[in-house]
Order: sequence, then structure tokens, then C-alpha cells
Amino acid sequence: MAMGELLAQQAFAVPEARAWYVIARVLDYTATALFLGGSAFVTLLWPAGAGERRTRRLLTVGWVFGLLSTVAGIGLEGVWATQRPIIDAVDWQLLQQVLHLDFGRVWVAKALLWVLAGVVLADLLHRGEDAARSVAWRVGALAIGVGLLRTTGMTGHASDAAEAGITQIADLVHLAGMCLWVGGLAVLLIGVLPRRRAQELAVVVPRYSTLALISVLAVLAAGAVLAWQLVGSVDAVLHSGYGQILLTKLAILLVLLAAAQASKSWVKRRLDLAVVLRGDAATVRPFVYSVAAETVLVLIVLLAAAFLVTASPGR
Amino acid sequence: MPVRREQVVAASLVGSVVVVLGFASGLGVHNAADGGGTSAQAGGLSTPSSASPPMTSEPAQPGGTQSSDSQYPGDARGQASTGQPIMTELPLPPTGPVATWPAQPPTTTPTPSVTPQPETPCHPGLLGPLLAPVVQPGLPLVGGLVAGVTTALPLNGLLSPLVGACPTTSTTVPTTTPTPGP
Repeated sequence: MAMGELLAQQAFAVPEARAWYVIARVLDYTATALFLGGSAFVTLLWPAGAGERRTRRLLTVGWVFGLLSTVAGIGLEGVWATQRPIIDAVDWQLLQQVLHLDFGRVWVAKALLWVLAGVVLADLLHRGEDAARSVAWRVGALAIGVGLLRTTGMTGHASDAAEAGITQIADLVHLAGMCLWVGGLAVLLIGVLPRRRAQELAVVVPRYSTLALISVLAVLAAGAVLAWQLVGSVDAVLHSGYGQILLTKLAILLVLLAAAQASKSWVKRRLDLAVVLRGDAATVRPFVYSVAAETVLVLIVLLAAAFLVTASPGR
Repeated sequence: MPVRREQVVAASLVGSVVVVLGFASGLGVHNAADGGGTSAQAGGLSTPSSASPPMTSEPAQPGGTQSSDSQYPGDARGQASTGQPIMTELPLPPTGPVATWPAQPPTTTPTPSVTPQPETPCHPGLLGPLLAPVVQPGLPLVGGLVAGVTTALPLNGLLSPLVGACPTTSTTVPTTTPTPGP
């Protein structure tokens, strides 16, 4: 089967309301990864990036889309649940109904957390590198990050699992690992690599390579726990729609890991040469391509994750 | 060491996140079973916390009105396969959450049975305190008077506040027997 074919089938088969909801969830995941992962990248690996224009724009875009997709998700949940036209996503009566449900309460809380995240972002934009290096800013950003990840997990399948405690922890680890990996990729691609500064490459890239490896291992381990808890059997994986989307996601993830391995291999073999050549464009270009491929594949994986959220595990 | 502004902001952020997470977790929100549900719950609007369908397939609702425009077009079992959340405006059953609804409407069979009523306190009414100083305890005077009056006169509703009323110890009532689904 061609890569992503099943996802394409799903995309054309889904009703309009569900398709909009899936789009909102993809935006939500991407924005969360950009903002939280990007902030983590800046504060842990590259504080000087807080003063870099493209990185600041990236974090701002992540915050704006995170807030918008969360607010839109409340209305789209109501539209999807009631099978109404998409215009009814702004219907006040329908919104009131959603707000009285658990989903609405959690997503209102998530929207509030995004508003609070604006304080963190504003401080970073205002003080730049000083903020990224300060303990107080890191504590505030960590609190916001945990809150956003927790609220995201509170409305997923993990909240319905039999062993909710283990599943919720696995979900939190899964999301955190994804954010560190994907957000770091984006900052690396958009913020670090275009500057081609030898000293930055020598310091930041090996650090991110280590962080990405840890994140990927955490994502895989937590994903295995989630799959076991939510699907429960090989038969369900092979013969349910949820299982097929999960297999598709895993297949894309394997390709993604191959691209990640190519990036890691470049860091191991060619980074020193790139530093010696002061960020020579021809030397860095293969690394840029592999990181770009990773980023595109990550978006497809997030699309598959959004479909998983809207599908039944079929236990 | 003086407290700096950024430390105050960070502490405020941490506190705000804790409060918001508590709100998201539903702390302080009474559920419908406690009799203090939100208006949506009281109105019979229910959904799982996740955007996913319920893990247990729900049976068709007993006698629910399907006229609202904010409900699924199909039945709940069909929606479970498509992963849609449940948000229906349906009347809640008399007891229990959604998962315990019977598969079929309960059938009411007027089975005569003697059902002991729960004992309620017997209030002697206004006459009791008035006569208490002049009537010796243990004398059947007041008790017989009250019983005779309430039996002879069809004014129980008017007299009961005055002379007091005690419920009978047993009565015959029809019982509702839920029939389990197939």
C-alpha cells in the first residue's frame, strides 16, 4: 500500500464536520509542538535563539495557532457531535451545550492556559536571551507546558482506558516527547540552520541530536504502552479501523526514523567538517534536506494522530 | 533577598496552572448522581470526556424524543464505529448513569404487593403540645381522639396539621419491574 493511502481514504471518506475537527486537532498538535518544543529548545539548547527573529516568529505562530485551534475545537466538537453544518460552530446555544460537558470544561481550561502562555511568550519576546536563561521564566514555562500537555491528554482515549493512571502517564510522556522532538526539529530547520554559524552548529546540533534520541525513545515506549492499553490485542490492530490507522502511523514513523537516522549519521560524520568550513552551504545541505524530510513526515504522523483521536479503538 | 518581579510572575503562573487544572479535572463540580449536576446534565445531555466514542456500546434509548436538532441522526451503536462523541438531548432514566440504562423500556406491571413504607416520624401536630400539660402520659385519651376524628371526618388534609398524622405501616402499590434486554 502506498504511504499515506489509508489516510487519504480516511480524509475523503470522513464527513465534513469530522474533517474540520481533524484539521483543528492537527493544528492543535502542531502548534503545541512548535510552542512547547520550541521553547524547550531555546531554553535548554540555544538561549541565544530567543533573540533570533525567525525563532521568535515561530514561537509566536505556535502560540497564535494553539489558542485559535483550541477555541475552534470547542465549536467543532459540538458540530461534529450533532452533525450540524460547519457554520453552527459559532452557534452560541451549541457552544453552551459543549461548555457544560467535560470536553468543553477541559478545553476552556486549555484555552485559559494558552492565554497564560501568552505571558510566557511576551516575557521571552521582551527580554530575549535573559528570559530564556532565568530560572523564573523556566519555571513558569514548565508549568504552562505541563498544563497544556495534561489538558490535551484529558480529552483523549487515555481518559477512557481501564488502567487510567498508567495510560494517562504514558499519554503525557508521549505528548512531551513528541513536542520536544518536533518543536526542536522546527527550530533547528527554521532558526539554526539558515544562519550557518559554525560555533552554533557545533554546540546546538549535537545537543539536539541527543535530546531527539531521548525523545524518540520516550515516544516509542509510551506509544507502545498506549497501544497496549487502548487496543489490547493484535486482532484489534489488524481488523479495526483504529488499528489500521495506527499501523499506517507506525509505517510513516518508520520512514521518519530512517530520515532521523540519516540526520544523526550526518551529525556524526560531517558536522566537524561543516564547522571547519564555517557552515559551508554544500556541506550542510544534506542535513537540511534530511531535517526537512523529517519535518514533513512529522506533519503526516500528526495527521494520523488526529485521525486516531476521532476513531474508536474498538475494544 | 528581595522578591523580583519575574519570580512573582512565575509563582502566579504556577498557581494559575494549578487552579486551571483543578477546574479542568472537575473539582467542585457536582455530578448528576449527587443531585447537583450542571444544567446540561440535568437536561439529559451527556457525552464522554473524550472526543472518542464510548467504550461500551450503548443501547437505543428507551422512548427518547428524537426531535432535537442537536443529536445524532443514527443510533448510538452505529455512531460508535465512526468514532463520534455522544451528545444527545435525551431524557435521563429515573436511576443510574447512561451505562446502566436498560436495553428496552421498562415495563410497568401492576403487581399487587405489600410494600412496607419507610418509617416517617409521627408529628403530633399543634394539639399535642397544647394537651400535653393536662393529659397524663400513657392515657389513651388523645390518641383515641385523634384516631377517631381522622377516621370519621374526611378532613384529613385540614386536620393533620392540627392533630397530627401518622402514616400507615403498610400499603399496596404497583411496582415497576425493569425487563432486561436481549
